[in-house]
Amino acid sequence: MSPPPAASRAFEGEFDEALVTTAAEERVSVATQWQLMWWRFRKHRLAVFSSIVIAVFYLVAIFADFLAYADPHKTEAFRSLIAPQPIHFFDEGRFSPHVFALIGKRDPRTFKRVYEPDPEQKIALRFFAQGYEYKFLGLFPTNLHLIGVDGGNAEELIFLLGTDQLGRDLWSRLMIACRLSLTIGLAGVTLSLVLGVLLGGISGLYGGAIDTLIQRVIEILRSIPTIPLWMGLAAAMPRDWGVVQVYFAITVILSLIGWTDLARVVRGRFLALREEDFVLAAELAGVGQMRIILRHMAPSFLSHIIAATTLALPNMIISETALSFLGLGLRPPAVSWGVLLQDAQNIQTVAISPWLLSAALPVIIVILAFNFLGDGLRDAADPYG
Amino acid sequence: MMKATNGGAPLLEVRNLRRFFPIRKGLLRRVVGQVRAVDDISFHINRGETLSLVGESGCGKTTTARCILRALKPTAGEVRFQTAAGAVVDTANLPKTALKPFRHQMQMIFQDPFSSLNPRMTVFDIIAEPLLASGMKDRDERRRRVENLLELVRLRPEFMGRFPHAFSGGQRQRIGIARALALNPSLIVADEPVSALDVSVQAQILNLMLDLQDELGLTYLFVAHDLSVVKHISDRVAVMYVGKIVEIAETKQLFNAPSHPYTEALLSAVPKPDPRLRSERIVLKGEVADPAQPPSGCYFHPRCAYAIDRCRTETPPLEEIRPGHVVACHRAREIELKGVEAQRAV
Repeated sequence: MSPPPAASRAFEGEFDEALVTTAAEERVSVATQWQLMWWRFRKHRLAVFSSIVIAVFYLVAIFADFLAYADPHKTEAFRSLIAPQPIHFFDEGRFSPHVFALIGKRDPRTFKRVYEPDPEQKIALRFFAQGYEYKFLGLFPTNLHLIGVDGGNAEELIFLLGTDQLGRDLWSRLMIACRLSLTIGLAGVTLSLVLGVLLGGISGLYGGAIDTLIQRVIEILRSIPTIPLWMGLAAAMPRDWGVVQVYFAITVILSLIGWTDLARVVRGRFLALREEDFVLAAELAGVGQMRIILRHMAPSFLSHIIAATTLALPNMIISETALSFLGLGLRPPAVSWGVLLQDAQNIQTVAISPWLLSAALPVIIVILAFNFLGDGLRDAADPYG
Repeated sequence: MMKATNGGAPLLEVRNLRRFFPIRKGLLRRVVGQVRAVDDISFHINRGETLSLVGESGCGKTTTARCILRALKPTAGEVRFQTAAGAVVDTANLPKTALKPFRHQMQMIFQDPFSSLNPRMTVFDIIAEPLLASGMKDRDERRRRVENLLELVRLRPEFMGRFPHAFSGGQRQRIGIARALALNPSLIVADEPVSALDVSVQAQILNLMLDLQDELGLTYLFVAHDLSVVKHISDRVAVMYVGKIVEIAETKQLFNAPSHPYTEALLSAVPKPDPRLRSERIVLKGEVADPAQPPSGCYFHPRCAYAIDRCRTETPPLEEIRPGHVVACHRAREIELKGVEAQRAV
């Protein structure tokens, strides 16, 4: 923020209203829309905290491979359904994080594999260790990971959140899942945004028959129960499509419904702004229509669109999770929160290996954080209201 | 469409202006009726004078103002405007694209100083926008012009970097006036410019408008419902009732000797400072007529104390009863009505 201009000149009789202000008031006087919004948003503590949480989640999505320590796709029958393993931070008073080695046995009565920690065998954890090979951001090949073990293979020794039926490490899979689950929301919302702004804008700007048509289409789309619609569309997807194709197909399916909300927001703002006096003043001044839309109308609904988008994101994320959970969305080998939760579909899992439900936790946290953030943004969106 | 210069022509002449709003119903949005917001009105404004348009809320004042500025397309009629070049153009019937060269010669001052300034633009951007639209590309030139304009409306030029939220209602209205003046218009349409302001600020704005009229030779169409304001500022007054003009006269004439019963009733509602004189208030019976279903004959007859049978069937034309005083009333010559002074004397 630029410093406020030097103190105003002394009051001159010619001007009948003194506008002499203190430096603090002057800061408000020259504050732009975005500064006012930021000042108001800042007061919404929960929203600020939520935005940090969301930032952390997206960082996890970017550094997923670095945070994982085991190849998320590597199966091993001898490590199936291991329970989460506690980390011990201190060893005889010294800071030395370690886990106990597990010894797998078969229960002679139930033939179930059981794992017992062996306190004698301490496996020291190392930070920034070497592990499995991956490409950071899909570009730079590396094998650096946040945690690992010295001279051993991390995926055979550490199981922070346990393993699933096929012996894949749940912590690592959870990290990787952030990527698909968090980006599918963004991609879906982006597509909805384009559709919503375009159709809502046309609807609000031209009115008349086009407006009526678009509004009726929105009402029809919204009256279709979403789950059966998604099921139908997902069932129509060829089974032999690859992960990427399915990903984009799901995005399209999600935004098919998602755009309607945004279109309504945009249309509503257009209708309200069209009647504003300052828009009429611009028209009377001979300002062109394009400039009126870009200079006068767009800035006043941009903030509303950002808020509406933020509130639409959790819907997208939860829809993807729901679809994948039902087996209609992403399918293995893709890893998303919904795919992970597929493993926790039966009561048996919940009773015997509840750690498989852990993918539900990030879903809940992210949805809540997005909702709080959206609330904060919505409150701040109109600093003049 | 353009005519040769006519020396004595008024700056603005409105002829048989109509603006109807369709009432639509049902799924197919069929037109089931018309709201006759402005119903066949004619008047003129001479160069340099102030004509006030008064009437109750919903009588069509604002619609008339917006039709003149072509913010609304009139349903029928002519708005003949004498341009700076001396030609007369009918802005009501020009296509919107052909209107641009004349737009800047008529500008508007708005009622609400809060919604008429874009809160997201600085004062400089707001006032400079008409300049930019008219092709003033040089930023320094615009800055100098905005400085001049701000001084003209008695605001400090150094505050042009501020946003409207830093100003009070009266100051915002000054910014609105500066914007309206940016392109040197000859006609200013002021739509209730002071009714949203505090009484103490109203006088400042009115006096500023009068000063500017002297300095710049402006012509005002002043839309208002506050008669004490109207009396202060206008040369002539036109009274509207349900989309029609019922009386036009010079301010003094109208206030002292109104000739239409509706004008008399309006004048009796002007608050009087002396409590002992608050007696003779004329309270009209019934409701304002619905402009979608106006009564037969004279629209005012159901509420008029002087109505006769003829008023129920025959629409009275606007007639000149003395020079410069036109009235639409069958009985204008017979009945004796009380103006403000006469009412006060009772």
